[in-house]
Amino acid sequence: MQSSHAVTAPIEESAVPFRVNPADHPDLDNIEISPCGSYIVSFDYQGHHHVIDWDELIGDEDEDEGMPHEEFMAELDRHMEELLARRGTGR
Amino acid sequence: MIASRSGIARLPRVIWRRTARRSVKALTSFLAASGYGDPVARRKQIEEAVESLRYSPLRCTVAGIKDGLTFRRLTVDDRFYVYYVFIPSRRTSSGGTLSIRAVKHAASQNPFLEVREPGAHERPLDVPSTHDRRDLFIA
Repeated sequence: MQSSHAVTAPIEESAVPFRVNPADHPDLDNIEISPCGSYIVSFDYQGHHHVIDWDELIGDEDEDEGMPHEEFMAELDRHMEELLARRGTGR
Repeated sequence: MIASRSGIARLPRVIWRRTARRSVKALTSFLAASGYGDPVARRKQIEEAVESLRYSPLRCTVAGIKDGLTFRRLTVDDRFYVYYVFIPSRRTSSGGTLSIRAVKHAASQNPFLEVREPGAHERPLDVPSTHDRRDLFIA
């Protein structure tokens, strides 16, 4: 019984203290870290300033898990063909 | 079960969230319309980079932990950021899931700043320049 609980118990990652360490990001400058220290808010990279949109990364709660890689690559191929055709016709 | 018995490691499957799909399409559309880069080459580059993640999903640095998810950032060709979450599986028969969250151009805050790639067109395809109507200025 105990082993069963151990297997099915969810991993509470949010309960694990985590702090972003700027030393882990040697390619980034001026790293701004959230007050809780668990995520990067903004940074500079090769002279450009970036603000991470965490709401975008987290996404919608009601969204399904996503589209399989192969399926999306096929969709992207069709998208590219349309783009190139449009460019070819000058539209 | 067969995989674990034979010692063959299962690779994680890759899924693209809506925001990631939208950002890749926006990126390729921008490159195709502006002429600042080769959208076909970039699409291939991003695809290969994402597929390489399946062999080492934990190699990229952690950008942060939010809502219990660990977000990592893969840098592609010093130009693109791929933000993803690796969700390991509790079953030995599965390699887990790589959830791609967004693909951002490194200059997304200022798209016209140093976006042009080596070998790209001298100017955007649809933007006229004084060279197009030189006759007007010479006359």
